[in-house]
Amino acid sequence: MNCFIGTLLFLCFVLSHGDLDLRIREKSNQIASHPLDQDLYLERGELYLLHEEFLKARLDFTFCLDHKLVNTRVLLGMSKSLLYLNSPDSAFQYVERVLTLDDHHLPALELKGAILSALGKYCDAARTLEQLIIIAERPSPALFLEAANDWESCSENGSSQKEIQLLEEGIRRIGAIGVLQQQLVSAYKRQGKYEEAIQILSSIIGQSDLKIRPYFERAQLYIEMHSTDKAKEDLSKALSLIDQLPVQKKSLASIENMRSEIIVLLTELRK
Amino acid sequence: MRIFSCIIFILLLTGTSYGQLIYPGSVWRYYDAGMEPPLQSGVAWYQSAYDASSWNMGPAQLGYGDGDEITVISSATLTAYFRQTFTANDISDYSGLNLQLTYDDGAVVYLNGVEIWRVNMPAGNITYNTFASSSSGDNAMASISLPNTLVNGTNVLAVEIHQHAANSSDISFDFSLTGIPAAGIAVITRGPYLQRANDTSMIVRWRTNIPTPSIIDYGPSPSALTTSAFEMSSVTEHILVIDSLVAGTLYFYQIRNLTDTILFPASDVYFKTYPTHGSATPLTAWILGDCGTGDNNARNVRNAYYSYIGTQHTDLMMFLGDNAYNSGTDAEYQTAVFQNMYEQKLKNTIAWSCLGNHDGISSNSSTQTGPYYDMFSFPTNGECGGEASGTEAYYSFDYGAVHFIILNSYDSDRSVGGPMYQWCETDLANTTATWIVAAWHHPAYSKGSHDSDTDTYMTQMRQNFLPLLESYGVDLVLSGHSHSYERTYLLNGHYGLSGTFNVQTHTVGVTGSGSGQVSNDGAYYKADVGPQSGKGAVYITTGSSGKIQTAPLGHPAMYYDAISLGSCVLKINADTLSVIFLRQTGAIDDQFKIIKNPDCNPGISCDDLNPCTTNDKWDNYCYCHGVPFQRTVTSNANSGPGSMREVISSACAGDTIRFSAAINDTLSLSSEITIDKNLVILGLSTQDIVLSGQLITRIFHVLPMTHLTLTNITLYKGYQATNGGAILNDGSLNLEQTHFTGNMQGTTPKAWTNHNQILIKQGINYIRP
Repeated sequence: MNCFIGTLLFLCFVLSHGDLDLRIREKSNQIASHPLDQDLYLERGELYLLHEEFLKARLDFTFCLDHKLVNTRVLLGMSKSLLYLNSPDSAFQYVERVLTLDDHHLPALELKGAILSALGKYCDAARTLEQLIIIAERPSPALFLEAANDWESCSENGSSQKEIQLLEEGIRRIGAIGVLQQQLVSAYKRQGKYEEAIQILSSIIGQSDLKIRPYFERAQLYIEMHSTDKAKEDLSKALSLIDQLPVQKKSLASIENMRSEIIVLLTELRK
Repeated sequence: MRIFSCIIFILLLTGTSYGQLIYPGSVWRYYDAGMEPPLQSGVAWYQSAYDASSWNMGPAQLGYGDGDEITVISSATLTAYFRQTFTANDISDYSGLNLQLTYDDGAVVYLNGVEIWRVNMPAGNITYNTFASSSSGDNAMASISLPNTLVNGTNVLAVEIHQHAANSSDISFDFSLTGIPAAGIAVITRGPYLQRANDTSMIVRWRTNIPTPSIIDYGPSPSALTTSAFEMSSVTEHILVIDSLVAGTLYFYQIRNLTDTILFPASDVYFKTYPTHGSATPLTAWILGDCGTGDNNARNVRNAYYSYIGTQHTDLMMFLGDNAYNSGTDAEYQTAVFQNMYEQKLKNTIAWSCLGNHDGISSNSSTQTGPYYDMFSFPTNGECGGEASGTEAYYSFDYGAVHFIILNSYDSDRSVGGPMYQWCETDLANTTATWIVAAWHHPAYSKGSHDSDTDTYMTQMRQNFLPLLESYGVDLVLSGHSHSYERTYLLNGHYGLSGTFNVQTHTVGVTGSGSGQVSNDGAYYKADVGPQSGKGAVYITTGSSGKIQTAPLGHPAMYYDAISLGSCVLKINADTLSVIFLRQTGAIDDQFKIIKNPDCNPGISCDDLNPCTTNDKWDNYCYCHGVPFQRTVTSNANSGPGSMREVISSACAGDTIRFSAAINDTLSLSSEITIDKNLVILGLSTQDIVLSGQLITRIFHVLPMTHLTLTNITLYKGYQATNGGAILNDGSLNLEQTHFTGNMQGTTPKAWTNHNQILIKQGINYIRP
């Protein structure tokens, strides 16, 4: 008997700290003892989601809904399960119900954006993520980039401008983050706004004139604008920066590759 | 019953807002000599003036008989006695005291010499022989709230634990004492802990039970806190940035509000700024993976590190995620990290972390919300060196010439070209650090409780990020997730499934497929210049700082793996990076070094400091090594320059000895040659090498633990009265095309005397004679 209790307690201990599969097993045991307890199904469904067992998760959330447990956790879990089970239409219905209960629900807004993107409704996805970005106190750069990508895919009039405005807003809120600046440069290039793109790259160089790649990228823009002299100047600067690198850095394959690319470009320009 | 009690105990502590005066699991003096401690000039053992410095010391739980004790005391005692001194700086801070006791079977508690609590003990006078009123059951627990009877300054809490019968099989003891804050009195309920350090600034964070302004006084010594930093808005979550500091400098500090000092200055209340960017300042880092159990496993791992490091300063603590089970809630963090766990180090050591999957249950990286993002302050804007990431989910920082890259393998996009990848690439391109260390939760290689062949997160990190990191010369990658310790060889270019790993092609350099241990088969070497510059990284999965889990292990990229509780200690000093795995017992189970020699120039001569090699050169991985000397016998004299005796004497273990073409006569020996190192003596089939003992001496004596191979040699007229013939073999002897002629033992023809192993080559096989 003592051995049994000991084993049980050990199991409780392991389960209370254990990994997902163990915790799912623990929850299933509890459900076996309390087969109508919706909260247990909700908790197990969320564990199934984390364990990427989406079909089982959906079944648990369905049980909750069938037994009148309807709250944001259940609806959000159901929506996620359906999205990962490639049913974005159904997923959308459930995430909308979450937002009806709480229109500032950050995870729901993020999920809605992903669902709309999966449905090919890029403009709506972008608008949803923008809403999330406005509400969130500390949105990550990834949110701005996802929203910007959605605006890029959106075919509405003015979406290109919205993409740029969003990225500029990101830089204003988060700071001069490289990934946002790079995306902005790409957006300007796509729209043929080379001067603006160069301005961004120049601002990156202004932040630190020891970075090599911005010179290289600005040179490529200058080449497209047929400003050969400026391109050569930037490429030469990039080369000299490589030469100034510590020996352990400039010997790296990645840096030597960049150097080779620069030399090829420079050679072509000098022809 | 311990496990159950432990869980209950943790639950009891969760969310407490009291000032902790004695932590559970803390260190006690104890007396277990089978009698009451003798009086000292009339002073009893429980009185404040009693000198208990001769008593033993150990952390709780103390006791015997249950197998769960951290400190085992004598089982021969009926009653055990415990004492602890602690400091209360301002007793008016507390309106009362909360006492919590783990006991078996009865206890009497004294504060400053006065009995304040009796648990399961009879009334009346208590002596060594007094039994508890009844059997308590294992690890019984009791708690009580009492009026504050503390004194300002040093206080002494003393406890005696009694058996309920002479044949009782166990004793258990642990204790915690918390002060209940008086109305309006602020006490620290979390921290302080240090964040976002660089060479000129530091963030100190702490939590109080009530909102107060944040004030820190700091200075060069505990008695000279000459400068203050403050933020006058009243908060409970204090985040105070201290700037304009001097690089690599120790500052002592105290924390206060407008009315009270709530953390007094002490020798261990300090912070140290990071060294100037790029300087080769030595680094000591403590690496904790999956430590968040909040239990004695984690505490044992912690204690092993504390014993190992002693009073030496730790420059940083690195949490590899899953810092608080099960879900990374604020309450779970309190018990797994901040309370009765790492607080002793957190107040003077900068803590960094990456997000684990369990942390990610309660926190969201897209919106940087949840306990993880609320409680930590990591650089987002390149404040600590490195490229601005714009998020605390992934970031980088510098410590002198070491660059750390922290990635989020859980809920950030792990794809090539995604935001984290782009940031990482830019960050790598721009750092000029000598050493690059990366960390994230999900390991690239593991056959622990998670399998890197099947786990999506692990596979994506391996396939997407390793090529990038390796192309920029990453040296060390730290991860957790699997609850084991697994450490690779010096790898490069393995991004596939474990079955595709090839130790020949996926390791770097001559020593890369070895242990990396100087005392074994050599450290790992990395080149800073030349065609192999930057190649080679060691990957460590160290997710056993809080728990272990059964797993197959055996990933072929691992030099060492084990399912053991422990943590890693990383040290970097100039051109050498070293790591140890410190088991919770204090044993060092694994260690290795990576060396980047700054003087290296591949192909150019160097000195490997090995007298047995010549033509030493730097190879492409900056490993300086030579080739064994050519040892050639040039004289057929018994001794002297070029003689076989002289050549053997000067040879190194493993050498091969040849004969010059000039040797065309018998080598006659007048005394035997002792073989005390592994050698090959190699004649050519075209030579006719004859070694003669002239019937006056044996030719060779091979010593134990020594190997000799003879090829194309004739042994002639070896002689010894006993143990005779040409050779006395006490070691290992291989004979290839070796002939014996005219050898004698006394008057009996005999080729050799063998006390160990002789193998004779016939064709391509060796046979025993």
